[in-house]
Amino acid sequence: MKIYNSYILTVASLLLVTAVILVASGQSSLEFYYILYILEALAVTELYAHLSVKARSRLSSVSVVLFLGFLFIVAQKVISVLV
Amino acid sequence: MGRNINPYSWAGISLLIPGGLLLVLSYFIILTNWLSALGLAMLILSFILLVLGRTIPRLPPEFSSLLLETGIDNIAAIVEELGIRGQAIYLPSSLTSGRPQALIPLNSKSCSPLITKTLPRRFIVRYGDGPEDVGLLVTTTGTIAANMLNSRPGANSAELESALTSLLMGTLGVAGGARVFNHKNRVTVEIGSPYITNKNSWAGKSLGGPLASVVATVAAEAWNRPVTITQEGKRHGRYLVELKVLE
Repeated sequence: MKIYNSYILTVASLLLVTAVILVASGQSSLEFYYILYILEALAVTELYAHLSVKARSRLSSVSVVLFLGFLFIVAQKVISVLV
Repeated sequence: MGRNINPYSWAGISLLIPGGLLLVLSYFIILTNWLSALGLAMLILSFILLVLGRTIPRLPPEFSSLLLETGIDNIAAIVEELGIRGQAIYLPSSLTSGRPQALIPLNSKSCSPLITKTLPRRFIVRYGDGPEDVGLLVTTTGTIAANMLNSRPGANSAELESALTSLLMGTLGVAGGARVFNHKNRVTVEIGSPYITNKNSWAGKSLGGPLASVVATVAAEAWNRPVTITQEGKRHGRYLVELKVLE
């Protein structure tokens, strides 16, 4: 399961580095953090193309949930602009 | 430890609860967005860990190793008892009845027998018209591993390399990757960071090690032709398997 460990460590390191950089740059929008997090998680999942089929199909369900969160944020922004 | 709870699931639960609490507290009470962002990151990681935890086989690796060694020892005992010195021929599923298997010719002098018809699903099979064309049709580590592939790879280096990397690295987790070099009917497979080693046994000399067995079976499926292992061994931290694709 070395590939799982490598995948998790990559995602965790990326999210941590992103959080540190954004906090240091004074970013306060939670939506911005979330969008960057999901982009990174999706990109790393795509890069690990050799994960087993089972793992990939399960991870795609996580990606769908994260993407729904992204759509929710977009919808909120659109509504705030329209109203 | 619970029945389905593996270290990945434990780590997922350990991040889910504090991550959720941190997100709710920092967003609604403390009103600190950077702390909420940290909670969010913990939640995303916990989802990934929980999902990966559900893909881990329930069988402990130690028990799997026990089953593998038992199977190999049984084949070794048969091969050794019969005094077989011939090299095994890895056959694609089209030449056996359903799944790729290895044929060990009892007559070691006939080095590369021509197998054109589908062999019956039996232990002792006749593969030619000659009186000595008899061999053992055995299931190998590669037989089971090849069944884990999504689709049959094509007969070229790139597709074989992708299939082997996916199988050895992603599904079985026994190596860091594979590279394939193809020249005419010779195929050289270089396996990076192998985590399993070969035991020197009589059966090993005939069938090859577990890694070579997987490589030969997948190559036989890819080329849809019989394949033999001509050489295998560790070199500079890599495991090299040389195959010959037969007619």
